Amino acid sequence: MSASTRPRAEGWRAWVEAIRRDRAAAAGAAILASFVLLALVGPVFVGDPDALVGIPHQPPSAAHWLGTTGQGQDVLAQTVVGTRISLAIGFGVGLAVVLLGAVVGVVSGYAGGRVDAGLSLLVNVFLVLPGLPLAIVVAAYLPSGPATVALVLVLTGWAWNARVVRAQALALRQRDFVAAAVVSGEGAWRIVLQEILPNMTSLLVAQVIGSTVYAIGAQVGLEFLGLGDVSRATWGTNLYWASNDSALLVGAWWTFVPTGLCVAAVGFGLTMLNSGFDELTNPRLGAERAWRAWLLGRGLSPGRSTPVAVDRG
Amino acid sequence: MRYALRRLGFYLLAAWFALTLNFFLPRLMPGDPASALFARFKGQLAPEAMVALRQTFGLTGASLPSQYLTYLGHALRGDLGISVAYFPAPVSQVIGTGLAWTVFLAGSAVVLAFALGTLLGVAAAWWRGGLADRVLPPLLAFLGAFPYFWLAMVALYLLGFQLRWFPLGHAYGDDLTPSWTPAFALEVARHAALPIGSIVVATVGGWMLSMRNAMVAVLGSDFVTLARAKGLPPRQVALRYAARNALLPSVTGFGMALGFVLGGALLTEIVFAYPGQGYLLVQAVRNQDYPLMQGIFLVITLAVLGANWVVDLVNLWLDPRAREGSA
Amino acid sequence: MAEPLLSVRGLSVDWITADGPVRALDGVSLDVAPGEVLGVAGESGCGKSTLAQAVMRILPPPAVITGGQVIFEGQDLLRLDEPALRAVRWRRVAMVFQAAMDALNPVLTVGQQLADTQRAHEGGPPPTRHAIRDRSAALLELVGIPAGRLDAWPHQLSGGMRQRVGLALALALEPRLLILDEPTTALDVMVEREILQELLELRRRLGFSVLFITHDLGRMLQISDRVAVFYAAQLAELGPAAALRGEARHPYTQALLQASPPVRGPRVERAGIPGMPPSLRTPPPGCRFEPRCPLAEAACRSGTPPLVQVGPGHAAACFRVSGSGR
Repeated sequence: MSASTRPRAEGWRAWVEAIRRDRAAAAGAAILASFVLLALVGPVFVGDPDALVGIPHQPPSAAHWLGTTGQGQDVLAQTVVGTRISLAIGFGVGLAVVLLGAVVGVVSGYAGGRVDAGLSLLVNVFLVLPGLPLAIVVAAYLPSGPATVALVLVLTGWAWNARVVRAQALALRQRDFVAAAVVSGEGAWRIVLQEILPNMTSLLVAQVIGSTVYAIGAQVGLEFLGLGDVSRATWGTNLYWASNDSALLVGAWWTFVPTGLCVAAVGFGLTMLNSGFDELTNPRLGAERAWRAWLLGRGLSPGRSTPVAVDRG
Repeated sequence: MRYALRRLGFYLLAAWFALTLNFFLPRLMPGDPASALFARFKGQLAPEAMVALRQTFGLTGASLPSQYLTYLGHALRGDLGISVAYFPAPVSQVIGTGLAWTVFLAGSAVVLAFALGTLLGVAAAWWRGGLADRVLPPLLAFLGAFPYFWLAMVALYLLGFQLRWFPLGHAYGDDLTPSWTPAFALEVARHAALPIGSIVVATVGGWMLSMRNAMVAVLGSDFVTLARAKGLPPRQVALRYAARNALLPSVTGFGMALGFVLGGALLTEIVFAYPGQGYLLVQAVRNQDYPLMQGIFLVITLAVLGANWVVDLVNLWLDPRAREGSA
Repeated sequence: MAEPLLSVRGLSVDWITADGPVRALDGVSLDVAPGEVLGVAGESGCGKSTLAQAVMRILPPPAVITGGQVIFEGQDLLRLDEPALRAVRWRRVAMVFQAAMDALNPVLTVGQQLADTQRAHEGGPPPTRHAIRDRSAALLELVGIPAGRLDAWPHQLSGGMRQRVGLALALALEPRLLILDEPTTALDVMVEREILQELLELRRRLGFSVLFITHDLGRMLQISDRVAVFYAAQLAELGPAAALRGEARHPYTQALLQASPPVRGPRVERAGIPGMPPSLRTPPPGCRFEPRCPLAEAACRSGTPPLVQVGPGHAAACFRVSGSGR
């Protein structure tokens, strides 16, 4: 038991170390942390997003930092309060999608044979069906709201993770330590849980982050169409109302610009975080950087042929 | 050839899956499928028309398998029911009016973004550490983090509303009639510039990054080292040896990305009130027009599947290993 | 002896990693005479492949050549600029890669790749397509492949055939020096024998020199004129193949020979070499073989042993051998 806890402690430290080493990843983590903080405590500081507080379509002013919507509500309040649901659905769906995809992927990759063939076919079909139309058609039959949005996002998003995890499971299955476990008579489930999954940690973490980015973006899209709960403030429904109230034709840019910036910031932050972990899982990417720096430090250029750095004389 | 046929078989399977999903969806939801589908038709349809409509969706009193076959028969004949939002036009007709515009818009945007992104990716990998490699990927990744339709809104606001460089929406001026003249083509191009532009800006980063990574991987492979050792001119090594091979993963990924990009394109259409499937979709959602919604889903799915198959054929041409059916 | 074709003097190569440089080749010197076969043997990671690619300066990043000279036909290749290097590459020095199966471009036919090579180096008027195709067919026949295979894709050929194509590619411009980097490691023994015999036959006819790199010491002793043994990025022993076969002087060479006795001949006790090669990031002070050497003594840790002459044209880097042979 202590043998398995010690590596995991090292694992945690490795992640934190990766973030500290890579400036982009650190920036990403900072952005993410600020938004999570905003989601948790922000609503306390702003007013009620649904309250009619002023004249519609007022540009930003001292009274309303981000102006008012087409209905006369405070844009800042809507943006801050919307952060909560948007992030919650984003993380929730990201996690659910990876869980579902990982289960299918591991079963498919490890079991092989007809189970694999059948599951792979299902995965491939879901991968090729266009996501948004499918999501719309399913969501339309269900009551509109965050739960429906989350459900259809999981439905349209799980297949990608299944495919990636399956590939990894297949590769791991060939490895020696798995063969050793099989030969020593360990049951299939134990092998999966103790040998295969722990070796996929970095992959799964990267997948969760990537899926969260997808979930936030896709969620905003569905809510923009009106499939979310339009009476509750989320980033997507804010855009829905902005479009509905003809913000563009009136020139009321403050009703949609802040929301878009939030979505991009969170998405970009997550991606930067992921790229920091990328070098953890793929050290080759960083190797060339050191080489280039070394050469430039000596006034040599990295050309096509192997560079020569010989001190003559 | 076996490869092409096998892929075709797969797409037919996926198409059947979509059809079947369409059949079961109204039946899986709580309540009576007929009321779900036809709630909005109340009082608008003559009794015979109602019966015909029920036939289209297989809502006869017969057993489930028989209903399924009835439904399939209608769908394969192109009978997708009657639209609520555009009553009394049949769904197939409504969809038909917008299909060409969507194919034009999304198709051009995807092809442009892929071509541009791929070229930039090759440049970034070949001149590693140069401008294309250091500046563009993070910049384009940042732009790609915005929802496509949001970029469309910004573009519309800045370049259309403020600067008045481009029109504010639609595919062509409201006072014109479509015709095959250069003047009309120019008009279409002017109206399509912003929508296509915003989709390209949003997606080019992804293509560039994947091409760059593939290129970097290929540049490290033995046959590129051999090409260099053979003393081949650098341009030949970059294009004929490296890029030709690095292109393959991008092409195989293209098909999958197509469905995703199409979703964003549909939302972009809405922002510009472009007369395509996206616009129709929003009308369908607003009016709870299930026949139209399901019809659009089906048609878009078939289009994406068809495009995927074409991409597979292109892959067959590009990669001699695929021709053996070993892919 | 006559002016050597290739003279490597004190060559050092470093890999620049994020944790600092790792020296993959440490001050290696050897010569290849015109028309001779020099074999280079050693365990994985000892630097022999690095040597092969360093000569042609095609080591991938993060490699840097940090010392020495590579004098080929009177020119120091390390001082040449890109265009001059390209003129030398393939025309004067060519290479057959390890596992040539991955060294062929998967999307071009064999014929197209042979044509590329020829077209890249023509000095005078560009040859016609017909002329190129004829020459390509001739090259294939030279290595024992029917000319019909010109239009085959690499993945349609067997491993042995792909290796022969690699050989044909290397001989396309009639180089003076051919470098073979583990050309038969990935092939089965029968195919290996055929290819090596053809290689020797071609060498007899065309007169090029061969720098032959492999981990199979036994095989190399059969076909080489002279042999160089590498250990941990350094040269351990260098001498005529006959001398090494009978009287290897470096303990590492002796251990290698004992580990792979000939199939025929008197029974010999097989013995492996205990331990592992040292890390090149932190090599041991003194002789690098010392931790595993049966003859090691305290003096062996004092410094790197220099190459000591132990016979005509035969040297070993060991403190325990006395000069001029026993």
